[in-house]
Amino acid sequence: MCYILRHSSFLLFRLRILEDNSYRLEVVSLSDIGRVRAQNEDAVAADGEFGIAAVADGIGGHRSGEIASRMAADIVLDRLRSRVRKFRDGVRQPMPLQFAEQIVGEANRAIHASAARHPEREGMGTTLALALFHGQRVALLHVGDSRIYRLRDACLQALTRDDSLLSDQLELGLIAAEDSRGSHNRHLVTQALGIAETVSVRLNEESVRTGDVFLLCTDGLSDLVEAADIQLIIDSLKTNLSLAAGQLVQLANDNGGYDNISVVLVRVHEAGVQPVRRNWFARLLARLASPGGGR
Amino acid sequence: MAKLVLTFNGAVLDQHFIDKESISVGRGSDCDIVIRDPVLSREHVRIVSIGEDHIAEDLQSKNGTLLNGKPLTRQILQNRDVLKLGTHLLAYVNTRMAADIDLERTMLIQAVPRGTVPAEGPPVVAVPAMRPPKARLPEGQVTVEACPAGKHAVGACIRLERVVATFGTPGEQLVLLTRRPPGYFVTHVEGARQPYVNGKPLAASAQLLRDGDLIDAAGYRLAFRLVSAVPG
Repeated sequence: MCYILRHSSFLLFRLRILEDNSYRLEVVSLSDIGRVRAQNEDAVAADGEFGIAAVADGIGGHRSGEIASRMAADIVLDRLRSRVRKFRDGVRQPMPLQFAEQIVGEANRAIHASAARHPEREGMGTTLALALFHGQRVALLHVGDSRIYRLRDACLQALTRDDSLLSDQLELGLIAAEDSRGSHNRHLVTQALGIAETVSVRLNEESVRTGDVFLLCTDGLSDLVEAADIQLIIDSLKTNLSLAAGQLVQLANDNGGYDNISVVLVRVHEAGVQPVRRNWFARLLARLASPGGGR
Repeated sequence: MAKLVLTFNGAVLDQHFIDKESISVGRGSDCDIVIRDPVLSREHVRIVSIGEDHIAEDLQSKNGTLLNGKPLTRQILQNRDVLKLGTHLLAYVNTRMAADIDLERTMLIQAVPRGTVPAEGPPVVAVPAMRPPKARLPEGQVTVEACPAGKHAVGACIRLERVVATFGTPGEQLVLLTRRPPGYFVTHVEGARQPYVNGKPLAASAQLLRDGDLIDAAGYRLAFRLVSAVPG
C-alpha cells in the first residue's frame, strides 16, 4: 500500500508490476571489524525498496581489499537500482537474473581496471553474494565464499555453494564434512571479482514466500557460528531483525572474531500489511489481555 | 614449511619436508619415505597436499595406521599430529599453523582441477563452521514461577543450553536470554513493556544476570540460577 503512495506518479506502467510485486521487504545490514583485524575489508549494500541485498569480502594488501569490496557493493547497488527502475517502468529489459549478471560482470571489469591503473592495488579482488528480489522470486548471484541462506518454516538452508578449495575438497570426497572443520583451506577462494578480465558467476533463482528470511553473510560469520545457532537466532528474533543481526555478529565475536563479520537480513512481508501498525495493534491487545502488565 | 619427522624408540631417524603434492611412506624402496619395518605394507600411507592442508591417507595397509592413537583412513593433519606405522612414529610439524591468524585472511587460489567434478546438480554442500571455539560458556537455568496460560508449566525448570532463548510471543512481547562467555544476559526484543529484573527496569540494552535474579517480562516471571560460572 505504501508502495503505491510513494510511486503514484508511475501508476500507469506500474499496474502490471504491482500484480507480481506482492511482497514488502524489511532489510537490515551490519558490518563489524571483528576482534583481530585492523581494518574492515567487508562491504554491504542493501535497499529494501528495490529488493537488493549484497555482501562483499575484499582480498588484497595495503587496504586494497577494502577498496575492491566497496567498489563491488557500490557499483552493484547503483546500477541495479537504475535497471530495476527501468524494469518496473516496463522498459524492455532482459530478466533480472540476466541484467544482474551483466552488472556483476561490469563490477568485475571496473575493479580489474582499477587494479591495473594503481600498482599498489595489484591483485586486489573481492567475493560477492548478491540477492535481487523481483516478484515471487529472487535472483541469487555469488562469487567466492560469501553465502546466502534462507530460513523457511524455522529451517535454515544454504542456497549457495562456496567457490573455495574446501568446497572442492568436500565435493570430490577428499575429506568428510566433519573433518573439514580442521581444514586450513577455508579461506582459499577459487573465484573472486577483479582478479581477471572475466569471472564466472554462480547463478540461481529461488522462490520467495511470505515469512521467509534471507541471510547474506561473509565467512566471518559462517566460519565461526554453527548453522544450527544461526538458524536459532534468526528464527527466534525475526520480529526484530536488527537485534538478530547484532546477535549473530556478537556470537561470531564471542567465538573469536577472527575475521570481519558482515550480515544482511531480508524478511519477506506480505505487501499492504504494515508491521508497525500490526505491532501497535498487537501491543494494545496484549496490554488489554494482561491487566497489571509485566510487574 | 611443513615437515614429517620419523622417530624410532625416541631417536630421530629422518626429517622430510613436504615439498610436493603427494608423499608416499612405506616399506618399498620406491617410497619417498622408506621405513624398514617388516609389518609395514610396501606403500603404507600417503600424505597429499591441497592448498594449506596436508591430508594423511592409509593406503589400505595390512596392519593399519594410527593417528594420535586412533585408526586412520583419511584425515587432515594438524600441527604435532603423530602417525604410528608399525614400530615407527611419524610426527607432523607445521609452524605456519602455529601462526593461525595468518590463515584467516581470505586469499585466492587455483581451483582443484574441474575435470573430476560431477558436471551438473551437485547438492549444495555448506562447509561447516570451524572447530568448536575454545570459549567456555557458563551454565544456567530458569524456573518458571508464572507465565501466560498454556506456554509452560509453572514450576518448570528450563536449562539455558543454547546461545539464545526467547520467552513470550513473537510479534507482541518477547524477551531474550543470551548465553555468552561472561555470563547470561537479558535483552528486550519487542513489546511495550521493558523487562524488569528484581523489580527494576533494565539498566542497559543487555543486562548481565546474577544468580537468584527474578525476571519479569512478556507475562513471565522467571527465577534465574547460575549453575556454574566460567572461571577467569
